[in-house]
Amino acid sequence: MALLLIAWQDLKRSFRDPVGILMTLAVPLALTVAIGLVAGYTPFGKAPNDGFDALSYIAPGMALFFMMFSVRQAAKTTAEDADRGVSDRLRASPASDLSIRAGTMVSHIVLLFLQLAVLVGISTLLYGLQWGPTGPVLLVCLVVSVTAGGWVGLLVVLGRTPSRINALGTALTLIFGIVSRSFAAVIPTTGWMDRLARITPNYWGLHAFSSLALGGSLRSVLPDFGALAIMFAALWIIVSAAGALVPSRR
Amino acid sequence: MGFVEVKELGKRYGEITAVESLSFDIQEGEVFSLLGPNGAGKSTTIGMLSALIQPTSGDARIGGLSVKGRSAQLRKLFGIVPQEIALYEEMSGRDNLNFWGRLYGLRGKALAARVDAILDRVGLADRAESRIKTYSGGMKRRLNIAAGLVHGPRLVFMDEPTVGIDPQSRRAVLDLILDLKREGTTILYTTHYMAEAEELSDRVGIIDHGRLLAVGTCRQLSEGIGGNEHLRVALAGREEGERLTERLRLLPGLTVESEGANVTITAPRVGQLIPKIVEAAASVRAALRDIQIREQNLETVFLAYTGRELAGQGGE
Repeated sequence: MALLLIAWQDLKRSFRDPVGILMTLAVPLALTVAIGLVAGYTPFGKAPNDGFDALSYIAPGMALFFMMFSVRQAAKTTAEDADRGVSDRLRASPASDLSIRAGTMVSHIVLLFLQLAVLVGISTLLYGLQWGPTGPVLLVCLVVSVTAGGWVGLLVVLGRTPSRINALGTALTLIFGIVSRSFAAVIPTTGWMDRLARITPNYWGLHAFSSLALGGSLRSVLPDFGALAIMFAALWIIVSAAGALVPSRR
Repeated sequence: MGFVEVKELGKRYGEITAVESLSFDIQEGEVFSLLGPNGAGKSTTIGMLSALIQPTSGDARIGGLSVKGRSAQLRKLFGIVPQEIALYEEMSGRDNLNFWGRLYGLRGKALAARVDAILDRVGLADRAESRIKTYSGGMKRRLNIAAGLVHGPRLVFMDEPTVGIDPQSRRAVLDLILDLKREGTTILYTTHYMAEAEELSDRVGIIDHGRLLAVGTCRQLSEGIGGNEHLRVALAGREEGERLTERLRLLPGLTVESEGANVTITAPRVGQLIPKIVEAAASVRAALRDIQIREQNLETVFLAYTGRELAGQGGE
């Protein structure tokens, strides 16, 4: 019960934070719409069938890129809560440490999932973009979001303070975006980049989205799910050992 | 047996001892203050008692439950008012209190009634629906206290709740604590303000460098240092101060210290010695600029126990 209470409180708080809403939803949505218009799409019209389709190529990568911005924002909020003593007040309440950790994590995952799902939904409704079968696509959004939730924790472990998390999170977002080919249209990638990309949720998420968009089924993305699950487990272990999901200022 | 029993409680961080072998009891309904300067160990003590910091030695029990166990049952017994404004700034005052109340198991009408009552009590009923980020510093402090009281705890830990607020808000916070005291709430209060400790507390513990130096009522602490008073004499210069100090040290039963142009004389009923001091000053040709008697209070007690003044210290 405490878990749901904490998750719901965090979600309500996030939706009342204008900066959070701007970074999580408004900017990615505006960019998706803009790229669609530049690529020759007409809202609620037919997709262009001649030449290079920038939106189909970029949309999944951009969605995952902005998800990492939200990861940074979530980590920063977690560190701010620790600074303000909110985390300690939670820990002094009757809620168990596991409920607090899981509740915080659930709120991050729900927000990340909503962001991905809204981008998928809007690009589908507005421009008729083909992401693949709805169920598996949403499942990819969920699995990627869960893994990204682990990255929230790792950012808190590595950054500790809101300002350092901000800097580190921005760097990580850009590096993950580049190595996982979110900007492949403008930045060429190399062999070592591909190898490095495998530690990013972007890479596996992009791989899964591409598989589904090219007609793949749920079975075709199971290896991606496996990689993401291993990544999440490793992150959870590191973060739990460092006690950083509910960090204390003490 | 006290409601709070602290036995040889200690906390070390590697080579650094933050709190060393603290022992004291707090009776139910008592206001107990820990008085000490920055880094004295006040916040670490509250951290251990509120089960946020694991002690490295000793133990403490609240209502018979060990803080080491960190049980939910234990944590329901107390409320905590941290130094920081530990609230969700994006949410309204009411939303915050609803959340903290629910976390302690309050629901429905009982929760609504409790939140209304506590908002009224801290004087924020008319701003209950506003976001906290729009509150003044004093209002935030009062809501911070309300969040620690919303579930009606038997014991409240208050860690310097008046730091950084204007005198009017500070008065409101102190009045609120006095009300809680009248109602029988047990309070562990930390402060570096002497006046607050004297006004609020049934008993005071003087803490410095992680060690509890003395515990008692203000009167007991005063008696513990022999009922001495301090008299400070201001002179024209250092040399005159040194001459007067040498002269006064010849008189029996006085402790005399000089610091620049000031000479401090410590003795029981020191006011009666003024004629002798004036005579001594005249005999060494030292011109008196000012004479001040510092009556026995918690400040002089603190000075006597720690050898240093507390005035001007910031928050821990």
